[in-house]
This record gives sequence, C-alpha cells and structure tokens, in this order.
Amino acid sequence: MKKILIVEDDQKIREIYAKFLISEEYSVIEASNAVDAYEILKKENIDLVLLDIKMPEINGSIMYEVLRLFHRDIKVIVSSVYPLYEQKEIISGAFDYHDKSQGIDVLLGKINNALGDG
Amino acid sequence: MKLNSIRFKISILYIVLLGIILVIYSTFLYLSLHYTLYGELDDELRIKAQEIASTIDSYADALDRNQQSFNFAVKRAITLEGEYPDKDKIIDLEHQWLQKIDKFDLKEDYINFLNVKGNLLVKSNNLQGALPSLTLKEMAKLREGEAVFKSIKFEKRNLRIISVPFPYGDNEQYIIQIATSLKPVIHLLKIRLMHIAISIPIVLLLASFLGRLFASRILRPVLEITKTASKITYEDLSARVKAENVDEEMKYLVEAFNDMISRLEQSFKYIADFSSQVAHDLKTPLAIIRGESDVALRKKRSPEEYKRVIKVNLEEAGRMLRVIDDLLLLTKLDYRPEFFKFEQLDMIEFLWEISEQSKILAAPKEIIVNTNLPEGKMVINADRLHLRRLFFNLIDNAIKFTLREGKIDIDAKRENNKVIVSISDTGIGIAEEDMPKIFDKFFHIDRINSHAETGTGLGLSIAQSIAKIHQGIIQAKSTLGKGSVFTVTLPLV
Repeated sequence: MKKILIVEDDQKIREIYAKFLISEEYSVIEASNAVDAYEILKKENIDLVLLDIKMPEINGSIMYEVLRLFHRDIKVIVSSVYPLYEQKEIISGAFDYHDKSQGIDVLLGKINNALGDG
Repeated sequence: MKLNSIRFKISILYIVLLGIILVIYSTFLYLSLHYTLYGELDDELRIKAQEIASTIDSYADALDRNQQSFNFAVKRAITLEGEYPDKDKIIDLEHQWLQKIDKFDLKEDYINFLNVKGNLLVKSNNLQGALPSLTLKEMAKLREGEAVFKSIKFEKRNLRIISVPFPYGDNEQYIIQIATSLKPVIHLLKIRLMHIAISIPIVLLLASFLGRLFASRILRPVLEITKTASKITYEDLSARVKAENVDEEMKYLVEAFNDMISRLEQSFKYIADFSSQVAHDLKTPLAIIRGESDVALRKKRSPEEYKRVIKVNLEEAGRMLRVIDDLLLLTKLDYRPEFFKFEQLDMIEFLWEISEQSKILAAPKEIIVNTNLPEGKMVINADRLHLRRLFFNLIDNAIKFTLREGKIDIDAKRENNKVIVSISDTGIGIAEEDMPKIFDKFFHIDRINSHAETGTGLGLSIAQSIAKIHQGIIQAKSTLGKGSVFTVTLPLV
C-alpha cells in the first residue's frame, strides 16, 4: 500500500484529506509543519508528499528544496489555495500541482496518476 | 516659451533686475566722470586765475606799484596791449607771461577784470561784449573770499566761468573772471552717454540669452523628474531619478521624490500582500467546503454524516462572511472616519456594563471576571458601538485563550488627561516571537489548536484601528504560560 505524507497546517483540511485518502486505500501520515514532516521522512518510507505552501515558520517552498536534495525519489504534489500558475512560480519542478478549491476528485486523480505507475 | 512658465518668469525677472543694476551703475559712472571732468576743469581755471593775479602783481611790483603801473599791468596781462616806458624792467616778465599764456592756452579763454562792484574794467581781445554779470549771491560769496564757478552758454558757446576775488594792495578788491570752453568736456560726456546707451541693451540681450540657459540648467532636474514620473506605473515602480550632478537645492527635491516612490512601492507591496492574504484566507474555508462536500457525495452516506457535512459547510460559509464584514469594517475605520458617530461617554459607566456582559460570556468556562474601577466620571469622546466592539474583541480573546477556572481583570485609572484601561488574563500567553505580529491582519495565533479557528484573525487589527480612530492606542504585554495584559489608552475630554 502506498504511503502518503500530508504536510498541511490547517487541521480541518488535513483531516478531510486524510479521511478521504484512507477510504481510497492509501496509507496516510499527517504532519502539521515542516519540522515534523522532516522527522517523519527520516523514519518512514514515504511514496508521495502532499505539500502545502503557506505554513508558519518554515513554508512549503523550503520544505520542497529539502525534499529535492535528500529525498529525490519521493513524488511531490503541491497543494495550496494559491492559483496553479502562482504555485508553479513559487515551487517549480514538482510532479504536480493542486488548487484546493478544485475539490477532492481532482486531487484523487492527480494522486492516482502519480502513484499509479508504481 | 510659455508666458506663465518658470523659465519665462525667471528670465524676465533676471533681465529687469540686471537692467536696473546696469542703469544705476551707468548713472554712477556717468556722474563720476562728470564730477571728475568739471573738477579738473575748475582746478585748471583756478590755476589760470592764480597765474593772472600773480602776473599782474609782478608787473605792478616791477613798475613801482602805483596806480598807473597797476592799470598798465592789468591791461598788459589780459590784452597784451599797452605801452610803458622802461620796458627793460619787464622784459623778463613779458617773456615768462607769454610762455605761460602758451602753456595754459589762455589765448582761447575769455578774461574779464572787474572792480569790486562788478563793473568791467578790462576785457580780453577775443571778447566782443562783457561776460554775463554776477548775481547777488555770487557777489556775496566773492566778498567772503571764495571763488565762484558757473556754466553758461555765451555767444553760442558752452563756457565754464570762474570768478575769483583779487585783493590788491592794502584795501583794494578786484574780480578776475576767466571763461573757458566746455566743448571737450561736453564731448567726452556725450560719448560716454552714447556708449552707455548702446551697451546696456546689448548686455541685456546677452544676459537674457544666458539667463535662459541658466534657467534651463536649473530646471533640468524638474524635467528629469517629469520624465521619470511618466515612466512609473503601478506595475513598475522601480524608476528613480538620478541624484548625481544635481544642484544642492534640487537634490532635496530629487531625494524627496525618490523617497516618495519607495514609500509608494512599499504601500503597493503591502496592498498586494494583503490582497494575497485575503484571497488565501477566503479560499481555505472554500477548500474545506469543497473537500467535505466532494467526499460526502462519493458514496451513499448516513443522514448523520450528511448533516455533519452541511453543518461544517454552514460554519465555513459563516466564517467567510465574517471575514468579509470585518474587512469592510477595517476599510471604513482606516479610510472613512466620517462614518462614525461620536458622543460624550462616561468610561466608568461604560466599563461596568462591559464587565457585566463579560461575566456572562466567561461563565461557560467558569472564568472569574474582576472589575476594579475608580469612583467618579471619566468622560471621553467615543462612538459607543465601535468602542464596545474594541473591548469585546479584547475580552473575547482573553476568554478564548484562558483555561477553565482562570481569571480576567478589568482595571481603569486616570493618568494626566488620559484614561488607561487594562484587560488582563491568566491564559496561555503569547510567545515573544509572535508579539510583534499580533496586531497584523489575519494573524492566527494557533493554527494547530483544534476548534479555535472560528476567529477571522482580524479581531486585534480591528481593535487597533478603532483605538486609532478614537485618538488612542492599544499595547500588549504577555508571558508565555502565565497570561497577557492588553492596555487601552484613550484621551479624556
């Protein structure tokens, strides 16, 4: 079963995504900030990171750089309320981008796409 | 060159001023020349008169100084006529006199010898009639022993006349008059005047040309600023005017202009950041609504599950509405103060009311509200509705961040002409690194805390703006884990 790490500071959103992805047969770990996420990355075998941009203290773009340097093989889908073109400006080179207001279905499609080829 | 342009005005002013200065200076030069020329001429006449006087004396002395010899002396000196025996005695004198006549050019001058009453005794040969007679004033001056000068026109010639008293012997007084031509002097003065008349317009013309050049140079920075200003749009605020090679006073203008652009740039950045922040904070509730609704609709769910989702959606919708209302309020507070109705309000009475209502709000968490207010009245100018909003924002925060059975204190005191109200709590406090940000818009102190996200993040920002509208300020002090104190200072009426 593929493991997904959700890095998102807004608790309600995190819970919705977690519940949903679990119901879609993914294994889910939650982190509310970049520091916790990094600790988890060290211990667990993560396949995909769902990364929020706007977080307190260390924001998503810094987290992304860390992922690129030390966990190159992990796929990253940036998930934020910023419009897609802006997300691409802030973090360039991620596997995919998701505008949270587009809804769950769209997100699922992108995740399936990322993890489907296995 | 436009008529009301600075360049035109500067040029005109400059030319007029320069013209005035030139005229004054030229007048001075002309007058000083006039004074010098006449002065020298008069000195010359004095010398001539002195020579005639001494010659007459010498002649008379050489010929025994009697009446006869005197008459001869006068006639001989002035007209070079007259016979006298014993020419040998005066041959040297004659010689000298002739030389002097040559040296002083006396042949050209008119000479009159008058008696003490002013009647003509002897005149020089080149004179047809007598020179104009002396006035009473002139006679008086002569009697006092002073020389008298005057300029006249005589027989179509401009002459300068000297009249000099000539005492002879023990008590005889005569008057010697010499008139010399003013033609050279007048000629020189005329030339000088002509030079002035020609040169002033030329200089002014030149000056106007230079003046325009100067004005252009001085105004160049203004032109630069205009060019730069037109390059600036809300998209590109990077243009600046160069401040090198600029005169001292213009430097201030240029620097002030560049500063203004920088501040505008900052303001725009602030607005852009703010808009971005607003979009973010409104989209997050929408993302939640979308998420919950999507999930709920994927499978058949229980009625309870549907109810829960609908509730969540309503909550988030409500939250968004509150954010929008708060933002509108902030805009009015910051930019339209005329929107508020001010009246005189007694703070003590007002705070008692707030305190009673706070007790009700704090009851569910069993938090105790202590109120400590002084006696009497403390009157301020306030918009009651919005002042309530300010204090309830602070009270709400105090209740929210204080644990069960905690304490909240409301105190007020008077200091100078201000009233100071403190709201203190025994809550979880604020971390030191967060303190500078707490009044920022959309600052949520605890994203991690589970149900505390009902706030809009604008509460303290609104409170601060309300305080500002009331000419007051809010300050905060806090110790993490122990509690916080918010102090509101307002001016008394």
